[in-house]
Amino acid sequence: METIRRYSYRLGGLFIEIEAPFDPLPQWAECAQEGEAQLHIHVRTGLPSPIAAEAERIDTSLGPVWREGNRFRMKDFQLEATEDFTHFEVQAWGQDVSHMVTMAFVLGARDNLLIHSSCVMLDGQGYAFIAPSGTGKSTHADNWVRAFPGCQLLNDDNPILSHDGEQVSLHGSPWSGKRPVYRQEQVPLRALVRIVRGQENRIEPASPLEALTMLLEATSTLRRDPQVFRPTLESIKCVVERIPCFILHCLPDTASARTCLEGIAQQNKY
Amino acid sequence: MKFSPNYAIHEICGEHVAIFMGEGGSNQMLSLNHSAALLWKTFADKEFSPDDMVSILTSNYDIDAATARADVQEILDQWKQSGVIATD
Repeated sequence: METIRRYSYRLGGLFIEIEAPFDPLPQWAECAQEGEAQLHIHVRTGLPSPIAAEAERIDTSLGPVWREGNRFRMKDFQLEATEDFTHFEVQAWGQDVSHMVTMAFVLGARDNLLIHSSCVMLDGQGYAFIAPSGTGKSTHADNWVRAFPGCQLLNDDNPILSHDGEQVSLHGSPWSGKRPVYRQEQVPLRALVRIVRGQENRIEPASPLEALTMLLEATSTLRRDPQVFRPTLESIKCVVERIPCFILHCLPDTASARTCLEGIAQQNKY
Repeated sequence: MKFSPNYAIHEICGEHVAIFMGEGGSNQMLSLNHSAALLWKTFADKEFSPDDMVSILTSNYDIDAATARADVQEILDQWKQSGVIATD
């Protein structure tokens, strides 16, 4: 008989409750219960009822997902959502169940975006660097830490953006890629920067379309499902309309961090 | 002809963009100028012809039918190429 316990977490702007027979996020400290949770996840171990063989396959940033109605199956777990994507029943049978919370978050988190980014905090503000894997996001974040005293890495792979219609905040998360930077902090987002490898260090403001494209490419969502994708787009639009976005062509040096910060600071003047 | 149901039109920072609602696909996003956005909003979810487009342009902008026809041809070429128009 497995013992089920309730775990309470804050992820981005959301309060999440998980009932599970094991600690679902050992790398993330629990928070005090704060009223009604926005997402509820019930985890059981054991094999689920089978999902149809002809289930639709969706390739996501989390890996392949098979979908049949509101049931989603990944390699080692299956997740069944209520119509409104607020309650999730999870059957876990394998080793790799780390993405079950991620999946529930991507499906159900309104006003929150899980983005692929390496990001830093400096003087109480957040800077998020976006680029395809291998382009040098982490290198650029490291260069900020080296270039500016007091600058700290907030998350190295999957931070969360939240907005309340006005303020946009950048949050650490329990997902941080190869480097375990599980910092449970949040700061106002100051700028979004797309990193492009170049022959020199040069920064330019992104057009609205470029900003939209770069944030959309960096966001985990289900593009084929309007119920998931529409709120994602609304949040992306809200962020792009409020946060200065840039494209940085750069070398992997500390001078690139200075070019970047100066470019961001300069845009403020106009 | 009709617009593909896989695209949704959005306004961002005063600009109009058609966004592809699906996985994959080469044209995820298409920038629309003022007249293209007007045509899209007018004919979203409707069956329409090039003549319908011309009459929308001539009644909303100060241009003659020949100019409008040329504009429509240009927009249609671009839209067909990017797959936002479903032709039968």
